[in-house]
Amino acid sequence: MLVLFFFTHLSLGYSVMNPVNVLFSGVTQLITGNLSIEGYRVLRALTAVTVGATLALSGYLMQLSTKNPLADPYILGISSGALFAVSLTLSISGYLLHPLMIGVRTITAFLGGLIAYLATLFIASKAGMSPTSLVLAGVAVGTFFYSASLLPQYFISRDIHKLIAWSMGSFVSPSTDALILMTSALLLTMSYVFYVRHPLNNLQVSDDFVKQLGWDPARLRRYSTLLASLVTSFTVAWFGVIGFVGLAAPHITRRILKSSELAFALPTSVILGSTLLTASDLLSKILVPGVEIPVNVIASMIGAPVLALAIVELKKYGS
Amino acid sequence: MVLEVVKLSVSYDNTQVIKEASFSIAEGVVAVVGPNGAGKTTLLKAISGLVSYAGSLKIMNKDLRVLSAEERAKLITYVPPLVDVMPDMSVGDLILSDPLISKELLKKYIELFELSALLKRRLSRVSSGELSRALLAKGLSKNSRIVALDEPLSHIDMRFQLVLLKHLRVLSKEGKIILLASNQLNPLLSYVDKVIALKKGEVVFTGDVASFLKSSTPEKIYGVKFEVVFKENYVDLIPRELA
Amino acid sequence: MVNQKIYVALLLVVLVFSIVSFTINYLMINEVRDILLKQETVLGKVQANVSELQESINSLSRRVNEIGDLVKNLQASYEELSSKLREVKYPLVITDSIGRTVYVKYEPSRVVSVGPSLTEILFSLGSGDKVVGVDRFSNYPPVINELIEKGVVKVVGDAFTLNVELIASLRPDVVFVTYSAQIEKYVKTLSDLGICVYVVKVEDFGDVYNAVMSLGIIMNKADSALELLSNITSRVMNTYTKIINYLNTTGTPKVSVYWEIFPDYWTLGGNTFQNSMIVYAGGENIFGNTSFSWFIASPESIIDLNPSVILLSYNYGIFGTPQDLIEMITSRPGWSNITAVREGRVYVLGGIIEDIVSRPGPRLGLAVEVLARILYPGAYDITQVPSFIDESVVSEWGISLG
Repeated sequence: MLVLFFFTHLSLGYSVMNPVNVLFSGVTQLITGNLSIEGYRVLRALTAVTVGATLALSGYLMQLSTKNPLADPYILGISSGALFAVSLTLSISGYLLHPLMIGVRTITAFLGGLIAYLATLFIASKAGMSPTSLVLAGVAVGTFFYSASLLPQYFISRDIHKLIAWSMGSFVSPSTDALILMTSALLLTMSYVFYVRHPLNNLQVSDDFVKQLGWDPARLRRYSTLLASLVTSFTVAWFGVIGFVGLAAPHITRRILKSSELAFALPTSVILGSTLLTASDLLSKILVPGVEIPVNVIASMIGAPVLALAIVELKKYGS
Repeated sequence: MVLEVVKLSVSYDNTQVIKEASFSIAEGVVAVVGPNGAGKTTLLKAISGLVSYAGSLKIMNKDLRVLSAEERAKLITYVPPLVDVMPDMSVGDLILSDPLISKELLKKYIELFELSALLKRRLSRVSSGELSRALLAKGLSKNSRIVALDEPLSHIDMRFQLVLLKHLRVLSKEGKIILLASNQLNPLLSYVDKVIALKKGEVVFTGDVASFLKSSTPEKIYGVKFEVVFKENYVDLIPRELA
Repeated sequence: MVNQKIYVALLLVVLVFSIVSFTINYLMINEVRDILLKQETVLGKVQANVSELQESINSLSRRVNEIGDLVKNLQASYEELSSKLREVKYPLVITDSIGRTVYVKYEPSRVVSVGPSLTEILFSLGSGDKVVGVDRFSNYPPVINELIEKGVVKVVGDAFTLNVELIASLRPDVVFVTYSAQIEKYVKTLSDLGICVYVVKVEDFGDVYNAVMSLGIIMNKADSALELLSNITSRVMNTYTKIINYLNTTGTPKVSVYWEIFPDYWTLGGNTFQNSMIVYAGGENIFGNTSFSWFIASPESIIDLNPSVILLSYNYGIFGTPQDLIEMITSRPGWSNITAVREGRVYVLGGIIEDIVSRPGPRLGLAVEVLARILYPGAYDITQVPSFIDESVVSEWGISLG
């Protein structure tokens, strides 16, 4: 399915092209650095795939660490932190959302997300680093930064719709640097997950079991959430806040696989995430000819019904 | 001595939950009894290496603190009565999530605790007894020398209680040591060799079952007057009146 | 063939137009003086007249967006208007852009303007001396900055967050507000305080005309309003006819334009004043057929639609020069094949010019004149259009910014 969407993404755009052609010439262009439409499409499709995978993985890790099936990559306050950092900096210099400032903007958003995560971590560790403490700390920090981000917005009100557009997320300007960085981050996280797959599996069950395997559950949570936050902050920094994929992919995976065994669930979830986001980005491009609908809007529309299903499920659990 | 405990103390948040407990066990099935909050769970967890402790703890003459996780896993397993899981997990996932499980043993236990029909069921849809049985199957399949069962009888029905208790006797004959913390003393006491009684974190009795029942310990630790029934193959401790 | 007819028709328009407007002005000035002197109040009659007047204004606005019928309708509307305007007296009952009924009891002498376009309009009408409060972004005419410094005029916030208390303390007779989704709650608060609020939408060309007329009526400057409108219209029409003439005589093709108002790929569609500006400057917006007003465009479609000119009306930032910005934009994947890029016709609009082309207000005519020179330098004997266009370039072209 992913392959299907990937190729469709490559072939459709403003005009229809042969996807295989696009793939070959696109890759060549990327290597030589001289980009045309094919290169753009390949870059954009690859970006969607990578970001989808990253968000799904990050979301799953967050769900495991907080033992909360409704956790998403931003549960520890990252999106609010990034938003705050960007709106604060924007109020100081109105040029932040400018293409020439992309480096500064990326770093700002990244730092914002990271700071928020660290704040959450700090609070949670004071509370014993239990799954619940993580969630609650995340909510506290997230709310704080979100409210804080509203203040600088007063000063940038003329450009406010641009801030909103940035925060909604879009793949309309993918960059090779971003792709390389994201892929390495993704691979890093995947190898970490493979390395800790056994204790991670048990994190879903009971901290005692994790201990019996010789791992410290608190430390495991800390590292997992750290990595997940790091990669998520990357995505937010470059592409804004893309919601629902991180929540929906792990969820749907568990429902269709009927198993939480991570060896299967994680790769499936990752692929599912990529597929979802690639499909969303595809729709983003082609839904209205000539117009780009922010990918977040589409991802949400797909993801919302899934969330509804999940909530119903949770009710049956009785919690 | 397989298990040697000397002056074991455990504190949580400045409160001493276990106070200088000392005992040793060479073999058999041992019941760890006491009122609520006496420290039964804490004791079992400490012995399993799940909480930090002061004092000396040796299994097979090896200090628990210097053992690696794999070594420890071969020596002792802790089985909780229930767990909080993510709602989407299945019973099968729960049981399998451990690389140190022996697959043949697991098959045997799945059959013993009648779990094969439940394997695909989500944990949110099974009863507490079924969950308990699954945890027992998982714990016992690790085939460690010592097994620490925390309140295993509380949720399972009478039939499985007997199945478990009889099986524990078999394991004991094979050389395993079973520690069993429980609030329920019947029919437990008919299947154990020794009793360790706790009250407010202190070990107030170690000895065989008969001595335990004849002593004043049950009344002292529970605050209840009992009627003791001794039969050839079993014993009964029946609570009658508040002391 | 059709072009020729329109060209001729439009020439006639300008001619007739100038005569009509002059006549109206002449008549109006006298009429208005009479009204002021007599001070009669016939409430019911006035209400009926003013609402009819409103309808005429609205129909005028709608029509202004269509070039074809500009001729007859302008003339007719103006004639309607002129007869009605003679009977306008206070107190006024007038409907604002969001359908609210507004009562203006007497000629305002203290006015607050929330919106840079509205401020510009008020000053152009000659009511600048009545302005006691403006929003943060009002910066034209330049005298405003002095007035703010001297404390004569206070800054009351902007279209998203208003300082209601400050406005109330200024005791305004009327507050003019640019419409935005966030403004509605402030409107209610101010009305509850008994302050007269008039909400103005300024999204397309027609809106501007409506705004000028409405403000003119409220401020008792209907004659100035008409004059301003006819000035704008003649400037626009002059430019338009000149360009059409130029296109016909030289056989130059129409220039297609991609206008990026903000990174990345934010552009404008059909129903916007900027689109109209392009059309009146003789050009064509590549997204002119899109019904979305302001949106993010798909980069591939820009490549496919192959504009001949690319306009960037946002600044180049503090870390770069306009050249840096142009380089960054033109190196987008696949853009090297776009005509505009190949021919070097990528322009950054900066300084005051950025304001002028981004603001739907009285300087619309000026904006169209600037755009016309960018799109068709040949028509103005301009040999080379620089990549960065600001006020110095524009004054070199002989356009007065005053």
